[in-house]
Amino acid sequence: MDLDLIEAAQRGDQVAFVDLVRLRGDRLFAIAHRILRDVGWAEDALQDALVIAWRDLPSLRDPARFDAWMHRLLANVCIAHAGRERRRLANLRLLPLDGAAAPDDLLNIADRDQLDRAFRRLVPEERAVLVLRYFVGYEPSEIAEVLGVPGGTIRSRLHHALRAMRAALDADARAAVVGGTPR
Amino acid sequence: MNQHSDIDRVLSRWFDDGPATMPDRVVGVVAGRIGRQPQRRGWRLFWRQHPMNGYTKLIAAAVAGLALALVGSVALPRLMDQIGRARPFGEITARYDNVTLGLVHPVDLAVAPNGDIYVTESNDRVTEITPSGHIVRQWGTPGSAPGQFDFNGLQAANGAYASIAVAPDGRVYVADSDNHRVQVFEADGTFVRQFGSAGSGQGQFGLAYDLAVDASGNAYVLDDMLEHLTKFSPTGEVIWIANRSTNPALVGHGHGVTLDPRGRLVYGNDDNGKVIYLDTNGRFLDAFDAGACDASVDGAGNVYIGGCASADIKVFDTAHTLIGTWTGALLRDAPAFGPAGEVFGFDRDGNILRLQFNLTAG
Repeated sequence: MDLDLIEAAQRGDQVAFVDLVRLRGDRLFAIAHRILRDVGWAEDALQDALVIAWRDLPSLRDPARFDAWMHRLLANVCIAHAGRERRRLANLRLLPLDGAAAPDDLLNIADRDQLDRAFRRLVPEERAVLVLRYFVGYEPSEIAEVLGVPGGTIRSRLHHALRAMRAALDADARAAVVGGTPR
Repeated sequence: MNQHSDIDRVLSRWFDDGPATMPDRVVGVVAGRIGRQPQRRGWRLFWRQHPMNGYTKLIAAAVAGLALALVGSVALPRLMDQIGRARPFGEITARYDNVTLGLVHPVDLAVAPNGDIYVTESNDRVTEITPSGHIVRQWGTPGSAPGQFDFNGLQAANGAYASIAVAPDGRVYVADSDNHRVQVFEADGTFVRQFGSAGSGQGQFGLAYDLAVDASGNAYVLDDMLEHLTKFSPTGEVIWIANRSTNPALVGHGHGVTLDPRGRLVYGNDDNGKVIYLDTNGRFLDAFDAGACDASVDGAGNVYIGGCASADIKVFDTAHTLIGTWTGALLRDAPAFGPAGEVFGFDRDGNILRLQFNLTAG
């Protein structure tokens, strides 16, 4: 934890803040990308979140909570961006994920495609919860705390999102069994 | 197919793919933007950095102090009264250890007319326990046949969903969440009937989350996924559905539905923290802000608020005034009340607590 940098940035030190961005940027960008599934949107969202972070940093009472605070900011910005993009892209065909990885033991290309389609159909709040749970590694109670949302809401978002993701994979498996070709 | 059974691993693996490096240009853009963006500063920083000299600051502080004293002379007596009324009022009178009882991750409990407690457990079982903590009977196994349950359809890590309610006639209603139905049993566990199926249509459930039963045998079920409250007749037919489309005040997730002594439906909306009142025809009657997540009502109509990781239990009277706060109660949810004034709840470890509230002390 770079408390010195955080405290210096809180006092208005722009150089310290930029150093903080360099240190934390990769992880934050990865989170934004997982929620938004697009490099350009993730970049925009991360920039917006960092500018808001700079503006509001003096109000952060406990510098040791910087990461959780930043995750909350970033998730909320991503949710706002995703909401706008969902409306804009409502009638457009979904394209495969940028830089899709090669097949591995656990997931083949069809699985990834199904997961990607199912994930994009989730509402932004559910996407953020899945990313915080399975990419960042927060427990549901921690997600509730990070997002400032009641635990019951997080559990129900998680429940719904997981059901949708599982259904996507199961549909893929059924199609394979009957000889269908997953789209 | 088996490879998909562990959705945790699949999602973790899937999320691990993708870019992990922030494009360099982000740093430049952010550096440029923060150069034009002043920080928001609280009053302490404002005070420290303001160019007023020390003498002027002293006068400003004195003026502010006088203004505060003036406001305080009016507001303080009321505030002290509120603090006095809101002092802790709850007490644990007995604790039944869930491990000793052989309970497996208890999920929900309800108090029967005879004072017995019915507990749902995450191993798809219902257990009846006497008020003094002795097991009377148990029923239920995993499955979808009558008398079987599926409370953990997704994964135990995300919690089981198994709300339970006992009707005034002693019948036990269980929200069999992942079988998308409600099952009704006699007090001794004999299967009576079931209603509901999977889906989003009328009479179907996405996630049957909480339920209550009135004296006529009508069941009221909150669906956490579909975000609505449905009234079912004693034969399982849908009488009405209340949600955001029937009244904008009902937007969001409802938890802890129950009936108050006046026959009104009461539940907490954990999206906006309000306690909602409906009549038994589904008409919106009233709401008030309570920081509500889970709610329950005692025999006098006082509303108890807990759950959602809060360590406290708050109680509001029928005029919606906060009349007590049990700080650090560490109950998992709002307490459950029996018809003879019995009160039970779970602690954070799933042990059953017998409780006593003394509102006159508060």
